[in-house]
Amino acid sequence: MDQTNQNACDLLDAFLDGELNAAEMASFEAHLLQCADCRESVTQQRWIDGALRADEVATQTASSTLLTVTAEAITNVRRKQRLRRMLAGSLAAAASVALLAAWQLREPPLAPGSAGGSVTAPIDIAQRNATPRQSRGLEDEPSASSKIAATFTAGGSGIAIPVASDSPDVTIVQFYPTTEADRRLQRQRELEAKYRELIGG
Amino acid sequence: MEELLAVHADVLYRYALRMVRDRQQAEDLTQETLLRGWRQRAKLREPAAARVWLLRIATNIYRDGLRVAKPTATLAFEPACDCVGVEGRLEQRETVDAVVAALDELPARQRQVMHLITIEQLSHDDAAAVLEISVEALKASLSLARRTMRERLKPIYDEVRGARTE
Repeated sequence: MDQTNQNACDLLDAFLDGELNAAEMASFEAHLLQCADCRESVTQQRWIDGALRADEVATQTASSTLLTVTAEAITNVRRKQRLRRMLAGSLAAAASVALLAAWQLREPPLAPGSAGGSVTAPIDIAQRNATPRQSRGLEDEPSASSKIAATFTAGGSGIAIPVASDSPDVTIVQFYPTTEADRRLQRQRELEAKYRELIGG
Repeated sequence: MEELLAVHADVLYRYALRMVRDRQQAEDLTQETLLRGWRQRAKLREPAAARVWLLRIATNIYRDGLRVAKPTATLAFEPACDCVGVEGRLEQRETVDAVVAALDELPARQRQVMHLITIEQLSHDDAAAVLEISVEALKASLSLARRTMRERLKPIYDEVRGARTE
C-alpha cells in the first residue's frame, strides 16, 4: 500500500462519522472503489453499528421500580433537608433568646425614677463650660444640689444629674446610662410636670 | 427536575450497564446518578444539556468507586418479541449478542466511547464532555475500539455474510 493510499485509509473513521467535506467525500469514495480493505471495513463497521443500534440494545430500559425507588429516595432526602432547616431555625431562635437574655443581664442599671431597675454607683462626669443644650437649667444654682437633682437632663445615652460643686465654672453631674424606653418615660414625666405647672396643680 | 431525571433514566441505565456489565449494579449506579443530579440540580443552568451533564455524573461515580469486577457471564438481551423460532430473528439475536459481547470485552474507555457515539449517538463534542477528555483523544479511542471490534468479529461477520450469499 503506497503512502497516498494509506493517507486515504486514515480517513475511514471520519468517513464513518460523516465528517468529510464534499471534496474529501468524493475523494474517499473514489478510494473505496480501489481499496478492498477499506470497503470491507466500511461494510463490516456498518454491520457492527447496526447490531449495536438494534432495539434490544439501544432501547433497553431500566426496571419499572428504579424510578419509584429513586423518587422515594429523593423524598427522603427532601424530608431530611426540611428537618435540618427546621432544626437550624430552632437553634437560631434559641440562640437569639439566649443572647437577648445575656444582653439584658449585662444591661446597666436604670436611673432612679425611670422604668424599673435598681441603681448602682453612677458614672461621674465633669461638664466644663457646658452648653445650654447639654445642661439646660443646670448652671442656674449649681450649689443647691437638692434642687438641681430634681431637674434631669436627658443626654444621648443616659441621664445626667447635677451634684454640688465648689466651682461656679464647673458642673459635676452623675451620669446614668439609659435605654430609649427610659428616655421616653423621662420625657413624658417632664411634659406632665410642665402641664401641672401650667394648670397650677 | 424529577421529570427531567426520569426522561434520562433509561439513557443512564444503558450507559451504566455498559460500564458495570451487571443489571443490579447498573440500577444502583443509575439511582446514585439520579440522586446526585437532583442534589446538584442548581448547577444545571441549561436543561438541554441535562443528558450530557447526567452522563458525566455517572462517569464520575463509576470512576470514583462503583467500578466492579468483570462479570463472569456475558449479558444476554431479552428478545424484542417471542419469535425466536423464526430463523432470521434468531440470527439477528445471535449477531447482536456477539457484537455486544465484543463491545463488553473492550477496555473501559473504548467501551464508553463506543457506547456514547454508536448507541446513544452523541456528537464527538458531547461524548468528549461526558468523559472529560479532548475530542482528539475521543477519536483515537473510537478508532481503536472500532478496529478491535472488527478484528474480533471478523469470523462471525464472514459467517453471516456467507450465509446470506448462499
